[in-house]
Amino acid sequence: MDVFIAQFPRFLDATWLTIWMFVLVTTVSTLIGATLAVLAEWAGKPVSLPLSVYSWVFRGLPELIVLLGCYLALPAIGLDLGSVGSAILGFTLVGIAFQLEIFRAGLNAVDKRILEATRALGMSWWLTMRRVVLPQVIRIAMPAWATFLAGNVKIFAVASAVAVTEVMAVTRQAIAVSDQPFFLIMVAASIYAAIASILMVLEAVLSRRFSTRYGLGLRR
Amino acid sequence: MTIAAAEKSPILEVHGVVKRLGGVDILKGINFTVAEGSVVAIIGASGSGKSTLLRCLNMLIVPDDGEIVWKGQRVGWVQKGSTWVRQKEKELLGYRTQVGMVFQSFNLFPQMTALENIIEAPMTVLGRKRSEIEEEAHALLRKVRLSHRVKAYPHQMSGGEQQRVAIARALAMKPKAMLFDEVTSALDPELKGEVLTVMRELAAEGMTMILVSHEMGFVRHVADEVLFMHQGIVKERGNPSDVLVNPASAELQAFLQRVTD
Amino acid sequence: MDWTVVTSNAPLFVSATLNTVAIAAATIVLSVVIAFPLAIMRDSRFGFLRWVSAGYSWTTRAMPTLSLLFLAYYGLPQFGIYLDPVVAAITGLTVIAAGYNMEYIRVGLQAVPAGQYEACRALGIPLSIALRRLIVPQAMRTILPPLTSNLTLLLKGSALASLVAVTELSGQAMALISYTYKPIEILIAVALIYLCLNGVLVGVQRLVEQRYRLQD
Ligand SMILES: Nc1ncnc2c1ncn2[C@@H]1O[C@H](COP(=O)(O)OP(=O)(O)OP(=O)(O)O)[C@@H](O)[C@H]1O
Ligand SMILES: [Mg+2]
Repeated sequence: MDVFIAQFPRFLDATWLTIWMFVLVTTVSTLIGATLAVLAEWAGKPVSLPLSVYSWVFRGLPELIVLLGCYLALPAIGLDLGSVGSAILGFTLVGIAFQLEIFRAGLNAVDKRILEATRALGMSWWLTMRRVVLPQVIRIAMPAWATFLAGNVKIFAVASAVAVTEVMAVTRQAIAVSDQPFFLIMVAASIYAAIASILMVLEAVLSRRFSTRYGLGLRR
Repeated sequence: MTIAAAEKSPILEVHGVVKRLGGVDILKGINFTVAEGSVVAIIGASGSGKSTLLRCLNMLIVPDDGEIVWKGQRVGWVQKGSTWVRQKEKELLGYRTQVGMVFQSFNLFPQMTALENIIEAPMTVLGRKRSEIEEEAHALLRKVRLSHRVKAYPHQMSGGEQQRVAIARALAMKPKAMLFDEVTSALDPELKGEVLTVMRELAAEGMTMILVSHEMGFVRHVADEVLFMHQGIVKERGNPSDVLVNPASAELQAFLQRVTD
Repeated sequence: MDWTVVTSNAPLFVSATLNTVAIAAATIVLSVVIAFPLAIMRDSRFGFLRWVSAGYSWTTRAMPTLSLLFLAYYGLPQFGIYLDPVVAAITGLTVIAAGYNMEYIRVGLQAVPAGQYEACRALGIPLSIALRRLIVPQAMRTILPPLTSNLTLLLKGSALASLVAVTELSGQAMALISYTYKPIEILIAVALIYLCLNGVLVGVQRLVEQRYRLQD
């Protein structure tokens, strides 16, 4: 307990660091992932195939390996982003892979007959995308997106492995000088759990809103 | 048959059964008795509580009030000193094996063949030997005219065939009475006949049967007594040739009008 | 690039890969065993059991996997319990995986039509026998596909064992990097091994899905 009180400001800083990294990574990877999904749909095989390989690789690798790659391997080719920079890059690379799949699935779920209808109305591809397809994709993808976020925050604990002083790293340093490691780790886990719970509530709200209002994915 | 049946002591008595579901009284005090070897048919509009009543009879759901007496013994409750104590689910299983039930939706075990469906409960519940019960199962399949479907899986059989397997499965427990809940309602007209034939034969053999059915022809010929349910009570009862021919209440008149149309 | 760091250390990579596979395999088996009772408790008649199981599910979904590994390895010694690193890693990973698996199992059990439960009761089959012989086999077709696709997550999670001093693939990679300083070659090699293992899992997943689709 004493250790926790002594370390409290550091826990606070670490929590703040975790949150802003998460928000930054989520924003960037959502934007890039969604853009790439549309691009793949528009350009067809030559773009979608390499993207599929990319997404398979980054969804299949342990996040730790990706982070180590950014933290240890990139400096070897002259690109040193530091610990926080490497973590952000690593999580973004992984995030893009997942967002790409989420938005692709959303695009695929859109009824293709709509495209014929809009063409018959004389709407251009971009206009169709912007006014008709994307609004639907967002509705469809929103629950999956929220689910991903809720499950994704806690992975930021792995950043501690590349010397980012997020919550888990501070905890690890604190338990070295404490005789209550269990308590301290529980504190760290609870901080993550609190953030994740907020996102889970968001997930529940979004999925209820989008499934009832648009009659999608109705569950018993 | 009616007279002979009525002379025997009742095998099942239902006294003032009340059942509340979702804050609504679905059954509002049901009374009737079933003589051994007789056939009681329950008719009534959708939502009148027929299924609820049947499910109460073998304690799939527990009545909120009233009692069900099987062979002179109260079902679901045991007397401890001067107070009555609810039986646990486990203690009800013995009673349920004596009262077979067949459902509208067949409910066969999909991963098992016709034969396996039939021998499952005798093997696991009664602890009987597989070889011994298999012989009986073959006899039962013969009885429901499905000797050629021994190894068929439910999804390979027609609805009529599945329902006959379900009847055989219930009979394999050697029940003393059978409950049938609209067992032909999910079947195409040409498949209803084969199931009704099996039921008619069962009745002729002297099986005690309580059935919910909308097949008025069948009810008239096979039932010893008809109960007409309306909004959770038994509105009319009696011999089918009286009740169905000369309905006293406007509700039964309207109901008969609808089902015979 | 200098691939001799990889070739000369091949035996290390092999044994590390085996460790990764062993950890993942132990985790999947144990977590499924634990998840079944949790899933059944989730819809129990007794409020307390439902509450415990819901709490478990929520906790494991909200807590970082790493924190559970740390609890098992660094936390338990506070109570005089010292686990071997591998045991600690498997414990932490199992606790998390069971939380996910219980949801799949629960969905599978709920997907079995109510009529099946009712038929079992009407035949007088006790719940324990009904679950084991009749309900669970039917639920398996719903449970297995998400369970196998979740194996990927489990494989990825096993990398965290390296952070509690287990020399599985990731741990071995970090050790080799720290004294050869050839991060690029070593990480590429390890990444390829992970992707191969992942490919095998995808194959298993396809097989399972195909088998159950054919039966429909
Ligand atoms: N679990 C439940 N909770 C609340 N209401 C229920 C429940 N089960 C049944 N009911 C209601 O009880 C009423 C009687 O249902 P029941 O199934 O007994 O009718 P039924 O006479 O068998 O009708 P049908 O001919 O359609 O099978 C219905 O209005 C139904 O909506
Ligand atoms: Mg009914």
